[in-house]
Amino acid sequence: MNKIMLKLNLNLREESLIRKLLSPRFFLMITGFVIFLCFWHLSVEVWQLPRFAQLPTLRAVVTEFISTNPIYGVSIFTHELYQHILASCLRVFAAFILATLLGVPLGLFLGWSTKFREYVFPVFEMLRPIPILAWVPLAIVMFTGIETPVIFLAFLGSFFVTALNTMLGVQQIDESYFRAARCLGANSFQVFKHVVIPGAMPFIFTGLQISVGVCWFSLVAAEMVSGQYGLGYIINTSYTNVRYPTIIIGMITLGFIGYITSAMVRSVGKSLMKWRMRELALSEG
Amino acid sequence: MLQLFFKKISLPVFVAALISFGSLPSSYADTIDYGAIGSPINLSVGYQPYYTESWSGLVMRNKKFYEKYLPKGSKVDFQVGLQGAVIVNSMLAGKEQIGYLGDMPSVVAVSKSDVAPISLVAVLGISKDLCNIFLVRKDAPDFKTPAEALASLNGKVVAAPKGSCVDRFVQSTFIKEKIKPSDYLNQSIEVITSNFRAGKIDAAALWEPTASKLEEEGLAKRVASGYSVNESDGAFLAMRGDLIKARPDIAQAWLNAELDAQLFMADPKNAKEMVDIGMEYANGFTRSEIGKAIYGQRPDQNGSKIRFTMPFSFSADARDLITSAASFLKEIKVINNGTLPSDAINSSFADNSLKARNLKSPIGSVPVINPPPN
Repeated sequence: MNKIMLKLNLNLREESLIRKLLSPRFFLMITGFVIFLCFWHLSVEVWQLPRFAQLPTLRAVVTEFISTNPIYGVSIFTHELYQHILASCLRVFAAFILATLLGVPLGLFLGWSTKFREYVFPVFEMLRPIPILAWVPLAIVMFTGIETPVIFLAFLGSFFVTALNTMLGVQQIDESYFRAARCLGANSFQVFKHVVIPGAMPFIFTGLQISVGVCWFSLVAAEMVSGQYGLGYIINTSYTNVRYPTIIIGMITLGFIGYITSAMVRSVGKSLMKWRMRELALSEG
Repeated sequence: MLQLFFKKISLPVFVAALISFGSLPSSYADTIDYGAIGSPINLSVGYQPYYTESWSGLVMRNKKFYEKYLPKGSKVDFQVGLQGAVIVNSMLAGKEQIGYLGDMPSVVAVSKSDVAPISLVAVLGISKDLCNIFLVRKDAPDFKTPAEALASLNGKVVAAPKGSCVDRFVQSTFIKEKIKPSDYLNQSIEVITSNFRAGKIDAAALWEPTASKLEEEGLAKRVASGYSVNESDGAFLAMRGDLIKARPDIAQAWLNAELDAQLFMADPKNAKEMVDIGMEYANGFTRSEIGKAIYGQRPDQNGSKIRFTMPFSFSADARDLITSAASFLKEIKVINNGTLPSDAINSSFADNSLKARNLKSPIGSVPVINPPPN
């Protein structure tokens, strides 16, 4: 491969891209998708397996998705799809930021202060398992406007995941770090700043990756309330109108954008956690 | 590049998948075994306690008229559908064979012949205000006429469950009355109820008995109906095509029982019992709400003495309603063809039932009773 690179006389960025495209990881990913699509086509259209035969075929979904004049009104060529994507992205962005801003500090305090945890954690644990759908009527009554209940509903699941992961992150910090900091004369704030926050970072970023995914899957329930736009709204409306190909289009789009947002959070996490990688490498060395 | 590809991925898996792709064209599709003609059958029936025009389904469940006609040993399982769409999806999936539906879900159901053929086999009712009801928020002014109320919706937030029977009514009213709301929201009846409570929407269109409930609870005011804009609504009995084909005896038996149920409803002597039946299956409603939903009189009814007529078979009104609903659904891209399949309406069983009892369509009507029985 290096010879090919030399022959092509590429700059560093182009070379990195080519390397990524030729890497086994990329091919494995493509293969995974191909196998999934093959299974869909075979089980629904060719073999017509029990319970699968009534599902929309791959061909029908792809035809609708790339049609310039889609039967059910939504395809990559319609303005409507992008309107829904934009509405959902804005809601998820708002919900995720809120969940991070509130969930991370709450998780840090839950993990750090035993007394605070004893006050708050039982309530937190009681609220955490309540499904998003159960919050719908209360959200409508509690919040003004149409958008705020939707954002609140998407925020809920995400908030609990972020806070819980952060708390676990603090709890797994080696006790010797706290003792060392105290011995060096650090006060509580300094311990919090220099031990608790960096020590919990790996768990916080794992939590944020899960949290952004939770935001997306809460969206279908949340957008029941929206009444106009959003990928969850498309899925809900298509269910009541029995437009199966559009349900799948909504699901694929939601999954694809959810994948991108998770990758973005992962990438931010990786760049902020370079010190951790170095630390792990050194400890292994 | 290919070498690298083949070296790194699990080649046999990929090749096997590619080879099998399209090369094993065998069909294992579900076929439902309904048994031989005359043998007992297990039926699953989707019915709607929260849609008054389809309440012959409640009567069937309560009075068990089907026991007289189905082969001995048959079992019937009634499943609640909170909205017609739930029943349509279950029918398409083969989980329910018979469904009591509003007009829009009925048309959607018969248009999905590529998934499973479904036919409309009887008319449950035709009216102008069982589904087509406009409500406005409780603090709206007292409008002198329905027309004035409808005109006030310009620039307001209006909600309705899209794909349901009210959706066509709302959109056609907007066109007829040249109304331009600021937003037309698609919300379920539960979300509409919460939004009225929170004062977030200005108006909504709903069906009975929920419309009467919101009115009685003081959450909203009824201001117009199908009478105001001459728009009909309807409810139909739908049956899976494979059941009709495999067991015409069962289809006929159910229609005979359905005729009994509709005759029971049409008899004003049974009004009090009808309210009892409504109370039994529609949870969370008061007797007054149930009574008003089925027998109530409102100013916007223009003095009509009938809540809904029961054609039973497919009268010209019923056929017109289906045709206009189909073209509307095609227009808003809910169904892919405005012309329904040839077997969308199968009136033969309903006609046979009428003929056997020397009856003619319409078989009766549910009258206005003022005050409603309590």
